[in-house]
Amino acid sequence: MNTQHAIEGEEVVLFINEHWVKYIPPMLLAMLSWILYVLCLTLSLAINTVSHGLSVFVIVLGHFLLLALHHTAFYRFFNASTWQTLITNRRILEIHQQLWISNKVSDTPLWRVRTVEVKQQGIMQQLLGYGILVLNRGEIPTIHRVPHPHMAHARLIPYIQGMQPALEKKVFNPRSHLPLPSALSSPYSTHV
Amino acid sequence: MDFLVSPWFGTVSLLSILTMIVLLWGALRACHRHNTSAIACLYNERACFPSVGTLIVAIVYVLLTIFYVFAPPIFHHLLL
Repeated sequence: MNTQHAIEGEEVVLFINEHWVKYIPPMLLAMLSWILYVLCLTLSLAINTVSHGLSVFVIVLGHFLLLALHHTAFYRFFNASTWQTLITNRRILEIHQQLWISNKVSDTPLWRVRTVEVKQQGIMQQLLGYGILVLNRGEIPTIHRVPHPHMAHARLIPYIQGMQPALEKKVFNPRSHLPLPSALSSPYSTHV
Repeated sequence: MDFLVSPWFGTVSLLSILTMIVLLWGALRACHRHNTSAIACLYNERACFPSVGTLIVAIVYVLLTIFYVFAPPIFHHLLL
């Protein structure tokens, strides 16, 4: 571990490399660009005998479409491959880059996190087993496309509770007569 | 079909190669930035970038772009 970036006693809790579903749109775009190119080429050949000018226009259009969509697809792929999140026992680190446009690195202290919600919406998320982790009801940037989000939530919760000593005394002290808040009994969210 | 080997297509091909170089250069910069970030330093085993998958996609990208550049002359020869 490089001590230059590490805080004393910092340990890795969870590394989140976003679900592979993020690569589907760029892949579809790349395929679409080549399909359009082949279609334009075929159409150009078919109408060549009828109208030479139109034939040239169609193949030029196909070439421009390929030029734009092919590079856009790979640009989006390279962007998506840089999105990663690392959760340690002290903080949440996120890196989100867009080549030549933006470079976002966020470093959120773990003590700021009070609630973690798991959201899996739609058939795709249920089938492919990914979801989002909403922190502090959206106050802190949400972690998107988390693979196995319930497992990630279970892994994260003890560390967040450990950062809230006042709450631990109230909720987990066996001699305390305070009733457990109903929200705490939910397996998917923790409210502090 | 002579226009497929015209200078116009050569210009578009050159533009495409330039775009590819700029994009790969940007990806290399992103790699460098990522590998010097706290994430990579704390968790270097799995957080290194580029990954094998990204490298393979970059190679496919280069090959497809080269094919794209040579496609018009190839089609010209095939069709004549």
